[in-house]
Amino acid sequence: MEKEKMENEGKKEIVRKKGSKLKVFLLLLVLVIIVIFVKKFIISGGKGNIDLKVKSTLEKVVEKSDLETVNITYNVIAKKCKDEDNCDLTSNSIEDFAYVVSCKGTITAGIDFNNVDISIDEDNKKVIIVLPDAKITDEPNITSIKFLNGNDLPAEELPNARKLCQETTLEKSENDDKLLPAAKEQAIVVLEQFYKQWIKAFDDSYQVEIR
Amino acid sequence: MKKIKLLFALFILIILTGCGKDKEINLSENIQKIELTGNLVTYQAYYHNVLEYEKEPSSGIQHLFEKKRTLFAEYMGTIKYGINLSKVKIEVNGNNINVFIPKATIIGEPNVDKDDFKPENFIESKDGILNKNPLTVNDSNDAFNKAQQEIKDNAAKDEKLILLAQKRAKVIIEENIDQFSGLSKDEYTINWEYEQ
Repeated sequence: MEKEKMENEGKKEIVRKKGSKLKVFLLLLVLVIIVIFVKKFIISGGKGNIDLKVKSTLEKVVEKSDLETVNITYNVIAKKCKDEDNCDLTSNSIEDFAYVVSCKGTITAGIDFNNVDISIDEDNKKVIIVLPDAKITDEPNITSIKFLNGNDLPAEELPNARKLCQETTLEKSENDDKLLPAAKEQAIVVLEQFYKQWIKAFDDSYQVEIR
Repeated sequence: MKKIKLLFALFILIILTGCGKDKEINLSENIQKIELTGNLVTYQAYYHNVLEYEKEPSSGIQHLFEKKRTLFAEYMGTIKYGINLSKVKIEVNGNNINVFIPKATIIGEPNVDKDDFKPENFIESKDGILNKNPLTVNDSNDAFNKAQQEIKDNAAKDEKLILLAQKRAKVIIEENIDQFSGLSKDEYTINWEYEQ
């Protein structure tokens, strides 16, 4: 009876020791997993969601580089008709107009970076950033006017010439099919240069395409 | 219980050794991975300008009474600004990173739209009556060359855009340092020096 009791106690002790070893092993396993996670995802900067990382860096670069607003030098020729009812604005001869002025001005265009679309093409290992089109955000700002007919413009005609410049610049900029793509392109150029290097540190198997 | 305490201490030790001295070595090594070759384009300026081109009367008896002609043309063009990356200097000293950013310059040649120099797009001054001094294809080509030079000259003296291009270069390099360093931003300091 006593012997049987001792044998049972011995078996229990073995089971307890085995259990204790298992606990230690499991604890070690958990710790190793934690260490790997901390080193890989926290200390190394986190290579988790590529789109999230791209989005956060894009916001920083856009804000710090003033990419949202583009000021464009926009100088045009404006023609004042001799007879408004009978005027050929396509004429090449300066003599066909009451006067012709060269208008110096600026156009402000903007890109709304809140509407940027970021997608990942896992098959081709590509991060695709699509920027929205640029838009003219303000009235043209006319900074100076030069009379091209050879003489100075009479002082009393200056307000009319300024108005003509304002209207012509607005009309030409709105119909200029190269202006807004160029405004968008200037943001694309900067972002392409930035991500070309940045992606190498993140994951050099990826490419970044900006449209 | 003793074993658990021991394991916990070991865990802390592993974490600390991971964040310690290796980081300084890694920072220097990681920063060296940033490629500093070629040009970094940071601004592309778009110009819509008015060109004034003058054609003097030619000399000789057959050109007597020729009139000076002036043509005006609207044209568009772009030009790029940026920095030469080989002039960027990055030095790591402990947790301090010293960065030198060169002055931004024009990169490449201007890109002017040649279609804007078709004679039908010009505004011309009146020609003489007795002897004509017509504007020719050569004048269109000369006007185009003058426009390219004009964009280049204007861009070269636009200090505002040159500074903006340099500032953007700084932002790009700063974000790349952040990405390559392997550390969070509060673990190192960047000291900037700009070429004036």
